Amino acid sequence: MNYLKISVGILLLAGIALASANVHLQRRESARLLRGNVSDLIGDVSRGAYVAIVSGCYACHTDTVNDGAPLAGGSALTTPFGTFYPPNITSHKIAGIGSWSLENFQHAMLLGRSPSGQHYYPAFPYTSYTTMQPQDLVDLKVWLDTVKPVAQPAPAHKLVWPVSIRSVLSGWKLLYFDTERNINSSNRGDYLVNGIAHCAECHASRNLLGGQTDLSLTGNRHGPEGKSVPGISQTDLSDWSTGDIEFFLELGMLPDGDFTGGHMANVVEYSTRLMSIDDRTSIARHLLSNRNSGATQ
Amino acid sequence: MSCRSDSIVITLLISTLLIGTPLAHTGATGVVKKRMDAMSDMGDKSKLIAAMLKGESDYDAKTVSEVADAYIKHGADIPGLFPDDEMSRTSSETEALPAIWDEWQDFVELSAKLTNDSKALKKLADSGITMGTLKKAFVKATKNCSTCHKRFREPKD
Repeated sequence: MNYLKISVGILLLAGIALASANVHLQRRESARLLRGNVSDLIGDVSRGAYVAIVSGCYACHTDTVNDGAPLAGGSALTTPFGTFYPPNITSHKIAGIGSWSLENFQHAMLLGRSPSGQHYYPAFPYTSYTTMQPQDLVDLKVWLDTVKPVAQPAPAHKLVWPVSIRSVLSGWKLLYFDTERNINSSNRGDYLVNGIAHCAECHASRNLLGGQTDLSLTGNRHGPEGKSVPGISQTDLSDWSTGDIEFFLELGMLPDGDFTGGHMANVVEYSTRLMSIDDRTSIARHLLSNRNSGATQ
Repeated sequence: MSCRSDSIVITLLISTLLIGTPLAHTGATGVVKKRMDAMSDMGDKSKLIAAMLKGESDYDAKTVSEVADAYIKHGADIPGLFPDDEMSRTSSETEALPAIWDEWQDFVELSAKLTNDSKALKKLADSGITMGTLKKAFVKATKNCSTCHKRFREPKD
């Protein structure tokens, strides 16, 4: 009987804690949305196609290993928390995101919330996308609406308990999701590196709960492929010139003559090599500067 | 045999073993060392063209042609450097993934593509090309390096 009382008590306390986390989160979310009003903006498809390249949508949402259809769902992502299957984000109205309103899309990208209000797992890097400028967001949405629909939905994630319970993400977001991430949007390099090109998602360290409290790009010992991800901070790249970084982002070739493999090869193939020369230069200069916004948090 | 001569023999034996052990490439031996050396050579050759493209050295058609020759040879040699045996698969030094042998045909085709694309690079170099064309042909040939590393090499620490 006592055990029953204790169990009910613990469950009640956990429920109250999560509900209270949700209230706090909703306050933050409202503040974030106020800073990014998109209702008066008109999207441009060709600019949106470029935002998609820079944001790296293709590399995760396409099964490049099995020549899958573009954005119809990516290869499995194995992590200590289980296996994530990046969803179908084609314009299909049921299997993809074709039925989403601009508001639904804004909530997904800036807040990590689904149209039904559920939390997304941070394997989807909304922690970086939350910095996306309103015009980029609207452009990306109208471009995604043009992506050829694919009727096959991606498999459901296979996650370990208690991560498998989405509501626990309220607590996680309260601790580690900074909706006020301070990006200097007039600094294109900062906006790319710490914002939409989301370098920090793999190149900054994570704690046991997968949270990032230091975004100084000094590397991550527990990368998504079970390997450590190298640091790309100013110190880590002290032997690299701006030209070396630009060359790497364009060809995937390191200064020692090696060519990158693993997930970074996909990032180069489907994102950085397709960026404008100016954007690659902005990234290179920003990485070698000491003005990285992540390092000051 | 005295204690002293014992120790001389042991010292000589150890020295012989040490001299006989390849010192280069982090202790790899046999075919694993051979393929690691081949990869290093390709890396060194790639740096020569990269330096031209980055503007660090002048364009030199003869060097490009020689680099292409090296790629052509390595492309042809690569399948033979990955035999399907225990040492080749499981040596502690190797970064080769089992996918090489599971998807052997793809691996061989990729090596052949490196050779073919490098022949195109050589032809261009021998016929006098501009830097713009050089870059395009170099990117095409070395795309095979990235593709191969992505599919068939362990992600690097």
